[in-house]
Amino acid sequence: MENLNIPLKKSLFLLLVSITMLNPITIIAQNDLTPDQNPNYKKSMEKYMGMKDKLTKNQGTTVQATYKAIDDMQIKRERKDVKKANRQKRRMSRIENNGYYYDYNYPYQSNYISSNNNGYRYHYGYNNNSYRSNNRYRSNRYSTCSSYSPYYRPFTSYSTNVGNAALWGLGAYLLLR
Amino acid sequence: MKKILLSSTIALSLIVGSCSRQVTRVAPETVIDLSGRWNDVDSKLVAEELTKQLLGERWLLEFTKANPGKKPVIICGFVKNKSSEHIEAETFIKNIERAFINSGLVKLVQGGEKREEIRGERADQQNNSSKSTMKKFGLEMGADYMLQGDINSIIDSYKKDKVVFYQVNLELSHMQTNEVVWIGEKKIKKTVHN
Repeated sequence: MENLNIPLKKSLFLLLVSITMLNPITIIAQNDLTPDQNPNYKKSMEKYMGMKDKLTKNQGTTVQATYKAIDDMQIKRERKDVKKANRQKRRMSRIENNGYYYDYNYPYQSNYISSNNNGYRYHYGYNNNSYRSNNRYRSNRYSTCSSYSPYYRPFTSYSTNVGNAALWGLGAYLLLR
Repeated sequence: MKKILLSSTIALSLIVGSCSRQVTRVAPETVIDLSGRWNDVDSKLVAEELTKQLLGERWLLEFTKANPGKKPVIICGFVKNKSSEHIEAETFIKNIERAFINSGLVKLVQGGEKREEIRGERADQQNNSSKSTMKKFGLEMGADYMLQGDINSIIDSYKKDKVVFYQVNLELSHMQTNEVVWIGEKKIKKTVHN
């Protein structure tokens, strides 16, 4: 050390002093609150640092928080669509059940089918018929279609449909004559 | 032939007339009551009345007397809808908040989800913004009062007639002492004949 130049000694000394002096200053600056700043700000900062990405992800977008307004026309339309869908389901179920004719006069017959009965139905309940007439032959498989099912509709004969069409045609003819 | 043409024209015009939809733009101030339910006219009446009450009553004078040179800081709390319909209170609360700011008599601070978003952005700035533009935590303006409210309704109906009564109440409570310094009220009554 004694062999070093005086300016070098001085500069080293100054460097040492500055290092020791500046460190406390920087520490104080980090802990120094601005006037009126809440001393518990760090708690809040730590909490929000953990969720800043979630809170800022909707920036520049529209947050859709809509509700379904009461619209009578819309309610009617939806009811119509539901009825249409149910009608379609009933038709499909009727087709799947092979258009089985269910005698509307005997609604209390059960529809149990045993797997070993070669397609014949066993009936339990009020009318214990083992044979049912079917005015439309499709196949040997008799399937269930309970009258309590929402898709059940009694089969209407062709004659009724033809009669309706005839009436409509007569009405149209009388109108346009 | 003529009869066929006439009947088909009538039928076509009926079909076209029933399918068409007409939209007419009207001024927002136009009073239109269709279903008898809560609508924009009700919201407007509530906003006007409660703003007038809030900014014209004793609590503001007492605050300015007790704190000369200071303006009260208000934060909006929630409005509870206890009626039988969906009512969006924000339609009249926003009008009241706008009146606060435009009047210059009252300060307003952000609350709820919007405040959370602001804090999230502030947290993001701690790491990403320059030192001179970075905003600090712990320097938010604390509210002096909180504005909260209730919406109630009473419905009386008999056959095709209905009477609907709404009561909207807003209260201003001191944040430190819980003292209720102001209660505003607006009543609306309507008769509906179906």
